[in-house]
Amino acid sequence: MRSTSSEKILQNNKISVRKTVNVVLRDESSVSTETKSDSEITVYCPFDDVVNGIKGIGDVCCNSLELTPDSSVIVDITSFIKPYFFLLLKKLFKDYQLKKLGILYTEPLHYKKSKSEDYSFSSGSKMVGEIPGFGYHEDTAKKKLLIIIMGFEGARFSEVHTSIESDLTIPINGFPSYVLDYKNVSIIMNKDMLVDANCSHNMEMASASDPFETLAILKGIHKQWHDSHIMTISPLGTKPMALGSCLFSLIQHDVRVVFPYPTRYEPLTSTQESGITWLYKIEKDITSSII
Amino acid sequence: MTQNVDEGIFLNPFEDINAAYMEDEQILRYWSSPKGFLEHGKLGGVEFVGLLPNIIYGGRGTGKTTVLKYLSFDIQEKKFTLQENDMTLSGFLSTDRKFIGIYYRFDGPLLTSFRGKGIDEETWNMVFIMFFELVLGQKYLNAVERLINKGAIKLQISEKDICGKICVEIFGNEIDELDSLNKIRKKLSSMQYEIEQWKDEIALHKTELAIKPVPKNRILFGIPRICKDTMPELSDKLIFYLLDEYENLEEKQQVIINTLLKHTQYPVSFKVGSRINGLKTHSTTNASEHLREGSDYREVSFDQIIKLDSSDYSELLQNIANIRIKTHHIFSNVKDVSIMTLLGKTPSFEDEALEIVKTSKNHDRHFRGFDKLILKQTTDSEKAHQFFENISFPENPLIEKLNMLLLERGFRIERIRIMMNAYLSNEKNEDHQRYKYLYEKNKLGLLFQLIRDYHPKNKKFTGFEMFVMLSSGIIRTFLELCYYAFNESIFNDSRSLALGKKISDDDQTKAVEKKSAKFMKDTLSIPGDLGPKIYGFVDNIGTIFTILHMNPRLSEPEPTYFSTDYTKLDPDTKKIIDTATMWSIFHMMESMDPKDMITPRYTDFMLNHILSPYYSISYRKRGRTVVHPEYLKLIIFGSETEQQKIKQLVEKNGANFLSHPPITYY
Repeated sequence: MRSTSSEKILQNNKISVRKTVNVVLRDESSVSTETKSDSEITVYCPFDDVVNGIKGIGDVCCNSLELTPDSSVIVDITSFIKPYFFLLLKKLFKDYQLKKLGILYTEPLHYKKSKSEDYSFSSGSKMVGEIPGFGYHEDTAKKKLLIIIMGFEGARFSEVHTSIESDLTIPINGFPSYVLDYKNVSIIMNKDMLVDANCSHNMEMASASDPFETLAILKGIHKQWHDSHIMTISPLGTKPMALGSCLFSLIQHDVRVVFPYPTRYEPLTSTQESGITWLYKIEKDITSSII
Repeated sequence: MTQNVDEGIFLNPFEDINAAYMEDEQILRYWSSPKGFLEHGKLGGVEFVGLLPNIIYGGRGTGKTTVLKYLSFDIQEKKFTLQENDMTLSGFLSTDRKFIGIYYRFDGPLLTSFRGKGIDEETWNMVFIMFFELVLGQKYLNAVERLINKGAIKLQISEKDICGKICVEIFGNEIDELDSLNKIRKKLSSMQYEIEQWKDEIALHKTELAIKPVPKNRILFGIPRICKDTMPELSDKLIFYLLDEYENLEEKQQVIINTLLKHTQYPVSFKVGSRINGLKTHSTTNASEHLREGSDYREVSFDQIIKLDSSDYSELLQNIANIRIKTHHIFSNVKDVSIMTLLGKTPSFEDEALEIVKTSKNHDRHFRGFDKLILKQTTDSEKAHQFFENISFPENPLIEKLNMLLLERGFRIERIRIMMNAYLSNEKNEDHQRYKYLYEKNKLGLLFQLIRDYHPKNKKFTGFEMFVMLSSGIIRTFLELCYYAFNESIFNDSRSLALGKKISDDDQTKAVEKKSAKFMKDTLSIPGDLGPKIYGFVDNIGTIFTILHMNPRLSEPEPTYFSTDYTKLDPDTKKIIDTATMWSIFHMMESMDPKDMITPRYTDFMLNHILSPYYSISYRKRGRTVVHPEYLKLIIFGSETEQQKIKQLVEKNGANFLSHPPITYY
């Protein structure tokens, strides 16, 4: 629902859309497409198989969109799961050398709590794995630095931390939050891990809505630590912050991104109603570093 | 010291306790050798300093990583330079030193990247083993370089010639540009990098891997052999690849590494650290061969390295804790401070029982129900009063609780009185023996019941011995308990703590309860989608134990473990139990020999003692609950109604019914 509001917003801002590619993630393993009209195609992609899903989207981009480096592309990441839009952005920049890219994101107005009074956007735990395409050079002479962009699901921090066993952990808290009500939630939900991983004193802050702030923080951390540490990022927080970490990983190749893949996502039960919609413009100052 | 406390600087001496996160210097600083560690080349009584590979099994936090890292070249090098106060390593390779350890931890997320992306399994297997060899090869060469640079090795032939031999071994021919070990190492690094780049690229496009594969095993075994043959200082040294967290490997990856273990070549061996049940397969890449314990490798259980029930374990924990305390920025100036003085002695059950009763307004709450029970023996109120006097012994409320228990079980008052008096006066007769047996067997269970009688009083968990007991043989748990206790004390009364005073009972109990609750909560995070199921299972079992503890007749005192016929478990149930054991939620043990030929041999599963506070149950291995595999399945996978029904039946009838197959009224 939050994604559909973006179409209206583009119209209201007099941005005319020539072609639309809808991506529907589902539990089936195959990729299929449905051409609704000359200007609208839907690609059905498997939740579990990011590589094949992106390949399917890529085929559509290749065959139907005729993308060039100067093309104007907007990607609405509101309903994408993070591994998907990470690899999608990599594909758009690497394969099509896009000089600019627009990213739309619509914030939720509220987050709904689960029965146990936690925030639960997913359930179960399949594994903690690298996002395909976002590995790094494992330099065993260096120590390990883990950057956790904290979310509301405290257990995910624990999962990632246990699997990486880093020498140094730096959490990034989304502050200011989308809405004042949520300003301390990440810290409260992750308080156990902040103690156990002995990292609360390392905490950095970046706006939950601003990917460029996250990007700047990550650049600073990398500058400080890259000589002695290899970096792993885990984007557990907001999508804009994840976007910032995605851009950073595309610029800085010696960084890997890991994600705690759940068994199930529960987006419809966890977020309701639409808040602000943002359009993030990724332009030459960033894209030139990526390509 | 006081100034530091006033300024708010009071670091917790137990801040860094996970060996995986600790700096090498910290591991060295806090190291305390378990008794008999590597004596006569053995670890836990098992041949270790030899060519036969070993797999060290231990639960999470037992100390496997600490041991493996301690044995590594990185730490041994630092230890040598500190001891000799000399930055060179001349003398490092003396005859005393039997091996050089190369440590490597299997990183779970990295391992998951060797799959899918449209690449067939055979290619992935080839890439994986090549990657693994390249990484270990670099680490080995790095160690040799340092030994040369720091004077431990004096080259007899030129480095160029040695590198020529290595290039022939791994590339098939000499390569002029690779004329130093450093350059070969960098070449291996660039090959590793090619693989990593390829793994990233194939996420978007199918591409061929640019590098030519190196023949298998040439790096892992060939390079050490050449170094041994060309460097006399290495001629009698074994090379141990110390591989940590074997359980992180996928099954097909373990098949590959198993093959290396089975076909290891002199001077190389493998010492592998794994959680219990972490070895997913014994298969090798040769379908007709598999890894056999005894002939291909030897198992070492961490229980063998540190005898958990022994004074050695307690002594080891004291040593480990005291190193941290004595080097602490505040305690180093306090006389006679130690972990024993800071935690104090664990009060006896009797002292604790006395305190509970004496600090209550009403001192006979534990006699509740007496009036009803005594009616079975007399209706005369005067006599009843006399009977009450007969079983009273205010100096020890646990004696009174035992008397109430015996009354509950139908013992005559006179009988109880005689037995109690025989025990108290230490008469050497049958009554004394019997009462003593009943008292020792039941006293902790009675203490828990006493605490419940005096609700909202809570069990205290204080003292060094208590912390040792609750740690369940897991060193890290003990250190975490200390960490939490110090945290509470630093927050509540840092001034007293800074003077070396004992951490208060309340702070210690709060720390234990926090750790216990956290341990339970952490089960939800067990990966592979098993967390919630394991959580539910543990909660059901824990609740059953709690119910049995509160049984007024205490038919089986202190039930803290269950037994089952492991061989009859279905695969799904087995998976849950194996995973729970791997994560140290249960401790698996062979049961005693069965009483007869018909009774199956059971396997015991003891709940981790750290959960005792969470469920208000004992932390001793006393009472066994036999659970039929079918009931175990229901306890794990049954509906909420079925599980509730089981608990209700336990409350009503005790747990004997669980040992038989379930009746189908479910």
